Amino acid sequence: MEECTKDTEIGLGTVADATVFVGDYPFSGEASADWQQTCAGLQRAGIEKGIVSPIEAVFREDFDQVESQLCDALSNLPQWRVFKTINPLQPWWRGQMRMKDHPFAGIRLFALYHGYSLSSPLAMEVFDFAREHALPVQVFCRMQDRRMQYGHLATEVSMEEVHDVLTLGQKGNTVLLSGLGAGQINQLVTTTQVPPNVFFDTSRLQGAWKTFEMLGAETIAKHLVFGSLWPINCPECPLTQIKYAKLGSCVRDAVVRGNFERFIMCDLRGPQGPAKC
Amino acid sequence: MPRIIDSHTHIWLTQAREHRRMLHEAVEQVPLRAIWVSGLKDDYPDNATVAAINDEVAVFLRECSCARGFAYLNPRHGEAALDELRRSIDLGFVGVKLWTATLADDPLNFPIFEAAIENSMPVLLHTFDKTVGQHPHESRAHNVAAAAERYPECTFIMAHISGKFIIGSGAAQPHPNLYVDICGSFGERGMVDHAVKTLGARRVLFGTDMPASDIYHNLGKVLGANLTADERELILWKNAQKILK
Repeated sequence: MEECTKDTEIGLGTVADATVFVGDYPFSGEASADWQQTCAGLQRAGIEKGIVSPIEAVFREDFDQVESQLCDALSNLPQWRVFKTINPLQPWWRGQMRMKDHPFAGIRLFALYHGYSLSSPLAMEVFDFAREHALPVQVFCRMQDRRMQYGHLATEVSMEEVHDVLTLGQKGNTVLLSGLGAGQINQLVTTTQVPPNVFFDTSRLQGAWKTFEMLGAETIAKHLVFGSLWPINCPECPLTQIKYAKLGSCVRDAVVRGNFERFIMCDLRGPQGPAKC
Repeated sequence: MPRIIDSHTHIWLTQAREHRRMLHEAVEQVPLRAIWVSGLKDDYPDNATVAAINDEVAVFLRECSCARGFAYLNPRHGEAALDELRRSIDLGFVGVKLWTATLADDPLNFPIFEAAIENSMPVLLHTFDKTVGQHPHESRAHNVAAAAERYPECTFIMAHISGKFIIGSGAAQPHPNLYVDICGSFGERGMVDHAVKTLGARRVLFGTDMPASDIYHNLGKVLGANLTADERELILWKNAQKILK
C-alpha cells in the first residue's frame, strides 16, 4: 500500500490563520471538523496558530455552550485565540462579553447571515464597545461562494457598508474585513486611504492569474492577513498562491504571520511559550 | 513543482490578445506540460462569432506547441455547427467545448456528440449546479449525466465538478465515460477527496479555468487532498494525457 502524501509541502514556515471555525457547517457535506480534526488538518498545512470560533455560533441563537466548550478546549493553547460571535440584534451580547471565565480576544460579526446593516446604530454599538476595550473586530463580508452554498442563501455585505467599517479604523477600531475579493480590495485601496489598523484576509481572494501580484506589495505588506475559512475551504489553496507569488520574503512573512500579530495586537509565541498579552 | 496538464483554460474573444499572453506566461512559468484551450464569448454567439472565437484559439495553438484546442460550438446552429467543427479539426483542434447555449442533454447536441465520437474527440461540458445565478441554458450535473448515458462511446468531461462536488460526483459515478474536472475560483475543502472516493482517481482531471481563476489556487486543491503519489499524478496530468493519447 502506498503512503499518503501527508507532509507539509507548502513550506511557508509556521502560518497564522485568522479565519478558522470549528464545528458543523450546515451547507456543505464535507465542511465539518471538530477541534482534533481542525488541529490535524491545519498542522498539515503548516498552520499552528490563529483565531477560531464555533461555526454553530453563526447559525444558532443559543450557542453559549459550544462557545464555552471551545474556550475550555483551548484554555492551554495560547497560540489559538477564541473570538466572540456577536449578533448586535441580541440585546444581551454585552453581558456575554463580560463573562470573566472566558476572556474573549476579539469579536466576530456576521451581518451577511444575521440580517443587520454594519452601518446601523446597533452595529456601531459593538464597534464602540470594541474600541473602548481594545478588542479587534473581524467582519465577515463573504463566506462560502453563494453559488455553491447548498440550500441556503446569504446576503453579501455591500461595499458601502465595507467603506463605513473601514472609516472606523480612523476612529481607532482594529478591523479585519474577511472574505473580500482581490478586485474589491483593489477598489478600496485605490479610492480610500486605508488606515494601518484595517486588514483584509485571503479567504475569498481567489481571483485570476497572479492575484497576489495584482494586489501590490504595499497592500499585501501592510494589510493582508492569511485566512483559510477552514473547514469550508481548503487552506492549501491560498497557501499555494502565496508560495508561488512573486513576493519578497518580508512581504510573504507579513501575510502569513506579521499582519496577523498586528491585528490581534500582540505577539503570539509558538506552542512552547506563553502569549505576551 | 509537479508535472501538470491544465485541462480547462479559455481565451475570451473580447480579450484574446491579453489572454494568450497570460496563458503563455503560465505555460512557461509554472511550467505546464500541456494546456487545453477553448474560446468563449457569450451564451448564444452567432456563426461568425463562433468562428472568430475558434480563430483566436487557433492563433495560440500555432504559437504554443503544448497547447491542445477544444472547438467552441453553438449547437443551435445545426449543420453550421458541424461545419465549424470540421473547420476546427482542419485547424488542429482535438476536442469540443460546449458552454451555455443549451443544456447538455438537449437533442440539439446529439449530432455534435456523434461527430465527436467519429473523430475521437472528448467533449468538455460546462456544468454548474448553482444556488443563485444559474443561466437559462446552463447545464446541471444531471443534464451532463444524461448525455453520458445516451452516448457511452463518447468521452465527456463535467467541468467544475458541477460546482457542488457531492452532486457532481454522484451524478457522474454511474458513467465510466464521464470525467470531472476540479477547476474554478472556489476552493471547497474535500472536493478532490470526495471525487476520488466516489469516482476513483482515474476520472478526475486537474484544470484551472484560467485566466478567470488562479492556477496555484487550483493546485492547492490537489496538494490539500489525501492522495497517494500515484493518485496525484493521475489527476495532475496522466488522466489528461490518456484522454488525448
